[in-house]
Amino acid sequence: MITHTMQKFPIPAYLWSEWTLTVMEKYPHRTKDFVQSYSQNQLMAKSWLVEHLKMECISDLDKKEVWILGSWYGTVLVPLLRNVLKNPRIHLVDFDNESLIIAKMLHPYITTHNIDVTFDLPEIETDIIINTSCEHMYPMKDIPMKGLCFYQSNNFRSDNAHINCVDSAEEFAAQSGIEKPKLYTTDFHKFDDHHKRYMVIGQR
Amino acid sequence: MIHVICSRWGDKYPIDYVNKLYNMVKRHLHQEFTFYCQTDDIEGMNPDIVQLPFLDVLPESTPEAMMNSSDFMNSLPRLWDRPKLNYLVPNCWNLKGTIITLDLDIVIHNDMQPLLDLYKGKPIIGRSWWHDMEKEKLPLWRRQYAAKLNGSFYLYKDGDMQEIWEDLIKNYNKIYYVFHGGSDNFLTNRHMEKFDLVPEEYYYSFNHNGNYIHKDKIICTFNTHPSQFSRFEIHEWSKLNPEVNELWQ
Repeated sequence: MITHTMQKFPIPAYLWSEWTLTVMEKYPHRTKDFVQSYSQNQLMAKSWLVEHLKMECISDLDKKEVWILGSWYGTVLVPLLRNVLKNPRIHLVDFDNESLIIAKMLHPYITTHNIDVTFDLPEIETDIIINTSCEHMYPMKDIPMKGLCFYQSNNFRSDNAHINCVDSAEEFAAQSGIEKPKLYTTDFHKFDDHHKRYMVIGQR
Repeated sequence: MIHVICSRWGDKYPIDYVNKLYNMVKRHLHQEFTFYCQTDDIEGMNPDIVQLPFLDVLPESTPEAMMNSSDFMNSLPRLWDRPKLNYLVPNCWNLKGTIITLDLDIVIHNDMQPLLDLYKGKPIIGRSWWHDMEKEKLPLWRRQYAAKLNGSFYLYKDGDMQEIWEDLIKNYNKIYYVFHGGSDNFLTNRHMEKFDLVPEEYYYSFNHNGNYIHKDKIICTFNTHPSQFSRFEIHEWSKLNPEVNELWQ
């Protein structure tokens, strides 16, 4: 039974228990990684983005096609988008095939693409493009795509996988390929105020 | 005819490393071969070794151009071993037939014929068998574009690397940008399936496999790591370990 309270959850937290158990059983080497995909940090970054997305698209929330680049498992973004948009068609793109296999298991209604965004993404033309992992990739301006873009990056250089950190929203905007981007900055995590997360939004 | 190539730039390895590598190949490769060194510094080099110039087909790939590139000047040494990418250039230096490339920091201590016998139409490359294979399965490994291959040894025939070269020349900007770790990271993450691997019974790391010579194997790499037991180069081990000293001549 799904209670009224459960129905009001913007994200199905009660499902995450099931999902985590499934990952632990079938992909034990991924348990930590999966749990990290719904950390406070991740929830903050993704909900921050979706709040802005809702404002940008408020006039027309129906049947949007959304591409999420560097999607990981889509743990947080997919349910949040399905909560905000009506009947979205969601595509997840990631070079980590196993994360997409798990994502498809968790969200059977999505489409997955095992592609390295930096090298192999075909030119996409769609309604909404989300990339919350720009710090892992080549600058977006050199990856062809058309649509309303929501990009995030950060200045957290301690992670070896972060090959493209930036130090300001302006610097991030310059490598976004968005002509007139809206710029936003927030704290990267709750532990310090030195590390920042940046977001740029705009049409390409 | 077999062509054996190594490369030397900068001052990390003295010329001794080139001459001793040549001597080891002479002792353990029992077929006709020519030994080459891609370098611009031949002072003290054995005159039997043929000098090869650094190619500039790939932008910012000569040692000088690489060191002067904006990434390096800004302390971001993206894809730091670019001169080794010249091994992928089709008909590089007009060499035909079988090509073996070797890093300088290796010891060869058995007959190389089993390595030649591995060739079945695909290029052959070393594998970092000393890695914790469970760690390699972790998502972080992929996310960091980490390496599984070890390019201290390649064996191929001219033309084998054509497809890899096409990727490289088309995407060199992105490849330099993304693969901080070097050519091994590039090949692992974009082209691993195009290679056959040197099996573990022939190939190991002195610094990561117990700090001793594995007598039955053929190639011993000395890939260093700044930890207590794996930071020494061959010339340092040769002073500490008589067996290394005897083999590295």
